[in-house]
Amino acid sequence: MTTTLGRLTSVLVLLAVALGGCGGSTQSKASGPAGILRLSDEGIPDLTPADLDPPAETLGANSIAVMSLIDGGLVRLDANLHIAPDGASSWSVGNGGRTYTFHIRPHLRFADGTPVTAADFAYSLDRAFSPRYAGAANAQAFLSHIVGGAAVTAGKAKSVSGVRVLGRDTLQITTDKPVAVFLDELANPVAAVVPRHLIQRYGPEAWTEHAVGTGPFYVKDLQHGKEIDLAPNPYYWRGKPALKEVRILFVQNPDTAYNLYRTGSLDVMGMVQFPSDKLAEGRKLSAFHSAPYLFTEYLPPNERKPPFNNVHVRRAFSLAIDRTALVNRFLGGQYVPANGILPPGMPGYNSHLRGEQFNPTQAQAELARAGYPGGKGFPSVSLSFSGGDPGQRASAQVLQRFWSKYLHVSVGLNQMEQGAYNNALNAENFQLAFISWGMDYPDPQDFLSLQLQTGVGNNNAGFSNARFDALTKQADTMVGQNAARYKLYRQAEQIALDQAAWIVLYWGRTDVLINPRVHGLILNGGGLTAPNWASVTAG
Amino acid sequence: MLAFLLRRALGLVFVLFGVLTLTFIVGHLAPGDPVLTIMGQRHDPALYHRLRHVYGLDQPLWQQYLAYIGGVLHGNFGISYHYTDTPVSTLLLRDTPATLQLGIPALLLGPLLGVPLGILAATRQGKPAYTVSTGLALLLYSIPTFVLAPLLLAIDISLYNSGYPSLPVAGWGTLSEAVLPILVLAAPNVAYLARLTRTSLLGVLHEDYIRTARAKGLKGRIIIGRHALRLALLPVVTFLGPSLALIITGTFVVENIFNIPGIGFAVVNSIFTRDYPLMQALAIVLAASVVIMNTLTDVIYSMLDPRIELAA
Repeated sequence: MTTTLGRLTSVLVLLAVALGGCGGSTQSKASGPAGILRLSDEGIPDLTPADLDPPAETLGANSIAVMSLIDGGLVRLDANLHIAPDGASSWSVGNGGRTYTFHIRPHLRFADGTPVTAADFAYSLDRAFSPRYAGAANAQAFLSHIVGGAAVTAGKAKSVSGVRVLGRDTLQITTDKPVAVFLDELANPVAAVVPRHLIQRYGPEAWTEHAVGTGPFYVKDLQHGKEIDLAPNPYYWRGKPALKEVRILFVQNPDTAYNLYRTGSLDVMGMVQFPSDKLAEGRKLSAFHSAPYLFTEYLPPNERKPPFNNVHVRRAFSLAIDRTALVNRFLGGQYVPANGILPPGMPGYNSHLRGEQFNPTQAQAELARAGYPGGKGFPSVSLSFSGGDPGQRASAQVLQRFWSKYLHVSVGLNQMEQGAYNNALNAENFQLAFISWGMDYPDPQDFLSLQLQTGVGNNNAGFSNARFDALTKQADTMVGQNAARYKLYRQAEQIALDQAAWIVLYWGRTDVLINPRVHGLILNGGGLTAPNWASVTAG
Repeated sequence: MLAFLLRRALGLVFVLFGVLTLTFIVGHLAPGDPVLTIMGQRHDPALYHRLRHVYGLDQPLWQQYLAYIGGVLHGNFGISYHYTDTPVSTLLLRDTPATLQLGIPALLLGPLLGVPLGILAATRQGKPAYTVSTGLALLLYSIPTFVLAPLLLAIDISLYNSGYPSLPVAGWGTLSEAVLPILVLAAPNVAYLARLTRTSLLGVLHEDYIRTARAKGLKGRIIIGRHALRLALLPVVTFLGPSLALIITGTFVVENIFNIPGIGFAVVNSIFTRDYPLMQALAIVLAASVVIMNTLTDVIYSMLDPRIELAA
């Protein structure tokens, strides 16, 4: 019986392998329902009403991908990640960079035809500041500079004093100080205009099941646990979209999304997550597209405690990492080896940066300068990582080998459950750890000032450098002078790298499959988007 | 019978109370903080404390426990941490239909396919039908669900790419979408029941009364159907309770692989998102269904074999 069974098993396995082999060489057919674009939103089982409520947004890429199709604000990011007019056709900045006067498009309407005026934008900002959203991290972070917002959140005022309606189509917003990234922050969905009439009709949560905005589409049908169907907004200010429908499937497992694409049930997959184990196979398809994504993976060396309070130790650990091998040999090439903090494609990115090159000889010299020649006497240290993150687990083992081979030091691996890992980072209870930072908006301020200025919340490594602080703080307030600002940020980035404030590992990529029947989609540093959704077509 | 059922109902209350307490303790002792999960990549101590207060997590553990027990007694499982502002009961009602549509056919397929397969194996020894049925049963029994599903998917995708008719690889709502997940979910039950039926029937077939029946000149089909199977099915019935547990744990894998918005999907997600209220409610619902199924098994058992008394 054993031999029969053995034969039966091998036949089945061979069949699967042979058929699987055939599958790899064929292309997905360029067919699908005409005018209907089918996408997958990977990594989530569902979208809740709160996930589609602009100020409540907490899910990040998963909900932003959907909200950006529905909602519009005063300004938006264009295909080149530059600030462009949206609901406001123009604006002026005065009062030393603190007061913005926006001119709303005269015929702007919600997708149901209701006119949108300056008062609707003021209502939306009042609502975003209401105590209801006191726990919404993004709204709190992005809108924090508007004067009078905190008073509304604290329940001391009903409307935001820094937001004034000057006329039907004129809105004025005042910030507490000149903030160079203020328009970038306003381009985030948290500042989108929301339909007061629907919120009053359906309630503060349930309205999103019928959401309309000033974006290219509106919610036609939200089937929980399955998909959301969007219909074209006939009043979209850039013209009614050519697509009849956008159907977004919620797919928890990116492998499932890949299978759905390969069997013709999806037109686009990988918008949020591409399965790493399918990357080699996916790359062979003509429908495969890849572009840099504004994301940096790094190790924060905890500078509050020895031995990483010593810059030479930090530099030694950084110089001993062969990033090219790490990314290409061990992580399947899903990322780009990094030699700086700002990822390529980020405004202000510096391709002439000095730093983070693999150099074992120099690494050993740095360790010797720190007082540990040949790794002798080096205290035991550990690298903490989240076991739930396969990329971190793989990287941790490789890094351990690099440090042992090139520095002759032994680094313990401290695998933790994701929640415990977050706790440890929060409590600064680690020596080396992993952090992934994806852009909030395309500006160096998001990667430098918000991460490495002395004492800021995200500064897990405890980095502190007076010169860095001075440069970035100056750049943060230079409204409308981006070229000059980027110069300052480049200097600051060089300081942070010289000090090995972060041991950077790699930058991100977006990998997607787009059926050739779809036209008008592009990839930029923020992921999948369209220069103009009104002209996107499918078959 | 009534006394038995009453006693079981009382037992159910204690089991549920135990499950409630255990999941509460384990959930709160496990490392990880739901608020940090909610906050994502942003680090802001002030916001952190505000959120802990909003969810009542800043209260002493015993107070949270009492509040939770009190809520459950009033049918209130609390508000989900992850699906903000959504009562857990709403989520349970939303996710249950898909799991029932998936689980009930899979549960029925167990005996419907497994028992005939087992009879075939016991009565056709040495013939090709025997080899195929025992081979299939052993194969399905030894391949775990999380291997069987990708294997079938790989075959299915290859069929699609080669232009042959194929089944949807994921989704829920149509009959064709249900075929693969139900088969995968039923496979271990079919296999186990086939093996159980075969072993048990082989044992019975060597009993004296079967020999007597043969000597009387009864036909093979009547001997098996009327005499042997009745006794042989007793161990099979005992497996019906555990088979529900197998189905439930199977849905954890199957619903995730096939993207089916059911209870199994919710369980796994609630663990990843540290959604304590949802996790606890799901544990209670699943524990209750297993206890009820076991009680049902005992009742059927006593009906099949009058020698077994329920009070015992």
